[in-house]
Amino acid sequence: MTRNTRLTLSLAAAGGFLAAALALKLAEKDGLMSHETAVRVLQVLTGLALAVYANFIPKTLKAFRDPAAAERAQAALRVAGWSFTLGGLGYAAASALPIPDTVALAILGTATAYVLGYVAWAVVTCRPARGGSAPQA
Amino acid sequence: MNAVFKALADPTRRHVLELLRARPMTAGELADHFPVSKPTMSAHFAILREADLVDVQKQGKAVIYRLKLSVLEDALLGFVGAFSAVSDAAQKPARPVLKKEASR
Repeated sequence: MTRNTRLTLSLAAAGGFLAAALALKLAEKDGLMSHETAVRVLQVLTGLALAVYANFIPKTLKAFRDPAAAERAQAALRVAGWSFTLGGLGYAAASALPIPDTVALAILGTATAYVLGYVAWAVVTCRPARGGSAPQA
Repeated sequence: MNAVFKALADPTRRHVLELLRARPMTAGELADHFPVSKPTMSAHFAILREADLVDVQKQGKAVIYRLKLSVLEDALLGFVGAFSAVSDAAQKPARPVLKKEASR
C-alpha cells in the first residue's frame, strides 16, 4: 500500500467518523435514539477503527543496522499490534453490552499499559552493538 | 488477499514465517533450515515478498528477511498451522490400520 493510498484511506475514515457522529447527533435530536445509545454506537465504531488501524502496526517496519535493535523493534510492533487490536475489539464489545463504561475503558487502559510497559522494557534492555544505529525513517 | 493465501498454503513458507517470528534472519540462515536447493528457496522468498509478508533489507552482501505480518495475517498463519497439525495428527493413526488391512 503506497503512502498516498494510506493517506486517502485515513482521510476517508476520518470523514466517515465525522459523518457517523453527525448522523447519530441528528438521530438523537429527532428522538430516534437516546443520548446513551448514540454515545455507545460511537464508542463501538471507535473500538473497531482502533482494531483495524492496529492490525497494520506490525507492517510499519523501519530499517535498523543493529540486529538486536531490529529484533526488539519487530517484537515491539507485534506486541503493539496484537494488544491494540484485541483492546479495540474488547472496547467495542464492552461498549455494545449493557455494562458500565469503566469496563470498556479498563480493557483499553490495560492494552495501552501493556504496550507502554513492553516498549519501555525493550528500549531499556536493548544495548546497541558497536556501530549500531537508531531507526532510519 | 489471494497472494497471502497462496503464500500461507505451503508448509515451507509457513515454516519460514515461523522462524522469522523469533528474529530477523539472513537468506542463508533461513535456507539452512530446509533441505531444498537455493533456487527453490529463492522462489519461496519471492512469493512471500510478493504477498508483502516479509521485508527485505540489504546489509552489505547479506540479505536480511524480517517478518511483516499484519495481526490478521499472523492469526491466519497460526490458524493454518494449527489446522494442518491437527489434520496431520488425525491422518497418522489411520496409516498402520490401512497397512494391517492390506496385509490380510
